[in-house]
Amino acid sequence: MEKVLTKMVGIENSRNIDVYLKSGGYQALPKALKMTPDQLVGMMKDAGVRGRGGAGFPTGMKWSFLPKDNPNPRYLLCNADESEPGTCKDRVLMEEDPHQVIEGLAISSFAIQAHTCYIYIRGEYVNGAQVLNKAIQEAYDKGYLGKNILGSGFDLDITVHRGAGAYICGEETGLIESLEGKRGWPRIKPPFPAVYGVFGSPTIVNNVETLVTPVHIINRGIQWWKDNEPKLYCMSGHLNRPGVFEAKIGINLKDLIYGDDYSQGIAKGRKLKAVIPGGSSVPVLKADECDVAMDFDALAKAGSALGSAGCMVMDETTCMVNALWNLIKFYAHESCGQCTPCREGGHWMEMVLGRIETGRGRMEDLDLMLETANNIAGRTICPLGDALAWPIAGMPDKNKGGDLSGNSFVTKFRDEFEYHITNKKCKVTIPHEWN
Amino acid sequence: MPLIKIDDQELEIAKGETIFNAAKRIGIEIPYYCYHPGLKIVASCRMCLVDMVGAPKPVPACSTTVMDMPEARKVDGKYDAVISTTNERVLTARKAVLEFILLNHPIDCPICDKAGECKLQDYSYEHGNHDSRFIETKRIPEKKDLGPSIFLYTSRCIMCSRCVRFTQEITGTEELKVRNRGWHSEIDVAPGHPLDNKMMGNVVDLCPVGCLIDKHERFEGRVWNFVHTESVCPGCSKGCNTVLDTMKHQKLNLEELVDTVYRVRPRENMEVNQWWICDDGRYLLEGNKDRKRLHFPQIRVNGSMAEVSWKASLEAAAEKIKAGGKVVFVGSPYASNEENYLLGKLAKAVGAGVDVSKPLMGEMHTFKTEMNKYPFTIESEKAPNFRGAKDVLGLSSSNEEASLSAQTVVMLGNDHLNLQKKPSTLIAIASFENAVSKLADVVLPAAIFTETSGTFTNKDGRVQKFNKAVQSPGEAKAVWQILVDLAQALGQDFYYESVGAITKEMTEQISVYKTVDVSALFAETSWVDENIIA
Ligand SMILES: Cc1cc2nc3c(=O)[nH]c(=O)nc-3n(C[C@H](O)[C@H](O)[C@H](O)COP(=O)(O)O)c2cc1C
Ligand code: SF4
Ligand code: SF4
Ligand code: SF4
Ligand code: FES
Repeated sequence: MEKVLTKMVGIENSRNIDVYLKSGGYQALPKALKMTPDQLVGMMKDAGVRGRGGAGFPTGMKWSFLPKDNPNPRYLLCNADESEPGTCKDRVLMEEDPHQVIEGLAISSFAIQAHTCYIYIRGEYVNGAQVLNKAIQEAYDKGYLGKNILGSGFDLDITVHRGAGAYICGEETGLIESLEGKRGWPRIKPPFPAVYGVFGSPTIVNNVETLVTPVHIINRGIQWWKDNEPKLYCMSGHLNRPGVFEAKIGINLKDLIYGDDYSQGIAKGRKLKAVIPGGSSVPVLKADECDVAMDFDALAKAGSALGSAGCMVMDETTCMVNALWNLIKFYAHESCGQCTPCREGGHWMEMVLGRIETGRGRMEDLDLMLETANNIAGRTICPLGDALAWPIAGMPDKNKGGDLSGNSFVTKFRDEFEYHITNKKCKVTIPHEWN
Repeated sequence: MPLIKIDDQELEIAKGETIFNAAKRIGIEIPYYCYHPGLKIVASCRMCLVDMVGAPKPVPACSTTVMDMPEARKVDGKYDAVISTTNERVLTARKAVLEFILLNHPIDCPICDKAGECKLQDYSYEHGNHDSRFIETKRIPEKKDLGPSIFLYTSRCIMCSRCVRFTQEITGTEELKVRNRGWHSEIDVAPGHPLDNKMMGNVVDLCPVGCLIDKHERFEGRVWNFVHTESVCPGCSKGCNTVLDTMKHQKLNLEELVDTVYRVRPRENMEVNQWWICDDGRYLLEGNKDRKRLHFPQIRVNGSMAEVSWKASLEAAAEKIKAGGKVVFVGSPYASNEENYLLGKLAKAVGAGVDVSKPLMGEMHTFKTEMNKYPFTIESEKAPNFRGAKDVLGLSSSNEEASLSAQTVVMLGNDHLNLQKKPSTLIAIASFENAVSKLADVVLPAAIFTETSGTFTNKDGRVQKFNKAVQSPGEAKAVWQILVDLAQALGQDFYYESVGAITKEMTEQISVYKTVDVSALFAETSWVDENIIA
């Protein structure tokens, strides 16, 4: 399949603007500048682009929420905080092909009529920030940024802002607070950022991958996009060939795991046990549930989510208690601490799981976890609370009055949890090399 | 206006009004921690979750508003929202939040000063689980000294962030911060920047639990022993509304129970002080602790002061007033309207002149921040009733210097005076021993504002009532009673049943006070009988 998003990856000097130009770069921007902003927003709607940051919110619709009558300047914030465990796709885009990102940002800024754009990049991406800054300078020098871009009369400045190592600053309102120089405490919504965002102005926050999509829709057309929508998948875990792969959205998860073009199967000839398909916050799929299309709707139907497409593959030697403990540790550690359920519940669950893993579990802990997950999910300011609860107890289920379905680690692998509690050790034999 | 139903009551809700406030309006209290009417809404504690028909998840009442719904989306064909504050879902959510908060709470109520008025205790009794499902180890961070008057009992914090928002939004001093993240979050100050501003005492009242503790009050009393009396701060001409919390306690070496004001708290008055008071006012009584009160009447005998009976002192005073020469009765900006009024009335009856002493002046301080709708100003006139004293004495200003040179001066209060030259005869109605009282010829020991009732008129002309909270020490008496007795000694027939009777007469006699509705003053809080402690 033709690579679109990752076309430049592997090309020598791919970050250089001349190389980007030579391979057809910066051709969408002039076309976009000849369109009207409304046409661009309409284009995103027609193409049906959904956000790549996690929630899968329709991008064109988000852009159209900007109030028409607000006199304040508008801002575009490019969410490059990429901290969801298992997710590493934005990094490839920024580090290998920064000009694609800049072109996407310029088009998107024009579409929403923002003259200032910030790239909020996770602090650990030192290299990414340097690459972006260098590329931004090149783009200014060639007139793709700055005043009167390509003679269109449109001005745009892009600033790279480095985070300081907090997952919560990837949540859009946490990001906004952090960008304003405050503690990264997510805000209550409404008001949504489109109405009251950074510095109190209308603001659009989108993921890096989301913001490069208009480049390709303009270059190749809406119909092409609908037929071939490219998506990046981050394959990690016990695989022969982990990495970031581009594929048509909706590719079967099995193909991603076993396909020759992709991860080429489970490492060391072992058996597949489970997959977390969309970044660590989404419910886990068992091996026999992995025959599923990797798109928003199919995964939702399967009781999980595409999320950030951070696909974590676990083989038969994985202890599921330990795996869940590890995930929950992350969320407990990253809770900003504002909301009672997330702050207290997260750490509690971490402690309970630690107890089970280290042989001090009680049978009642399993129901306690399921119940507590329900007491956290949906009762917090930002979705980190959900991200913490879903791996434990699955997605909200309409048939259960909105309570969590129960379909994730604790239920799907209950035998392993029970074994741990009864026998005070892992059910699986953990091979030497993982220890 | 959207029509909603909360539990079984139907009501209209204004645009922008929260479910919390609407419920409150109809008498339904939804439990809450982080919400405070004077602070930005953060909706983080999740105590106020309620169930809304159609909403996938319980919603926080403190931040949720209701819009007009299109016909098709109305519930039961007419409601824009139907809310339950008591159904199973709500109760489970509340229980869960309390369980979460208590995971890490030391539950050291027996030694916590907040016990008895703690929202965590109250809600736990009402909504909580009685057995903890938490078998892990609690995190017990150390207590911190935040500054000159406040301790942080770190482990008791429930992270409602009210105190942080207070220093951000109300004082703008921003001393308090949250440090760390998640389960490790703690309130703290930056090194070298203690919590130190003129309104910091308010964070203690604000804290829903016993995390922020006032050093002045720590371990001094238990709140269920307190008696609450509505009062007005005499600290400046702003006239903040306060509550005096008093408690009987046994003095060392004394059998009798003495009641003392243990704590001063703000009382909400949106037009004056909103929810706050300044620390000058809050700790005003602290300053009296090491001062000597005048317990008994005194007269000067052969150059030195001797304690005598009330009868003897009043007779001595009357004799001096009648002795001839120019007599001036000097009222006080620190005394109530009633006291000044009575003083003026007596002066007139005996043909003496009247005046009022000047209030102390100090710094004016305004706390202004972008977010604060009601910037709080501590006034420069450091007396509660200069305006009222002038009104009831019929004066437009103080003529203090001239008055003090009269032959005989009857002086109400004197703490604020810097007496250069003693009048030949000085009759002092005073509460504390000081340079002036030492110069006096007759000292009549008087109650201070916590020991009597009356009204003050603040700088804006607002007449506000304060009430008697504690008994006077020794034989000290309320000023109005002293004046009635003095009038009698001077052959005048003054008789009042209570302060209220003076207030009534005053509003009839003083033209600018005719508009003061005495019954409204009375209705606001029942007038405290002088002889019974409120
Ligand atoms: C705790 C948390 C962390 C998040 N981190 C990121 C992130 O690192 N990158 C990202 O693009 N979106 C992240 N999101 C999602 C953003 O809040 C937001 O939905 C997204 O940036 C919107 O972009 P999109 O519409 O392009 O997906 C996070 C959300 C939560 C709740
Ligand atoms: S859900 Fe967790 S991370 Fe999100 S605002 Fe609440 S406490 Fe912070
Ligand atoms: S110290 Fe008190 S007011 Fe401040 S956050 Fe903690 S509980 Fe709330
Ligand atoms: S502002 Fe004035 S009236 Fe209010 S508390 Fe302070 S001193 Fe008392
Ligand atoms: S009072 Fe509503 S969330 Fe705290």
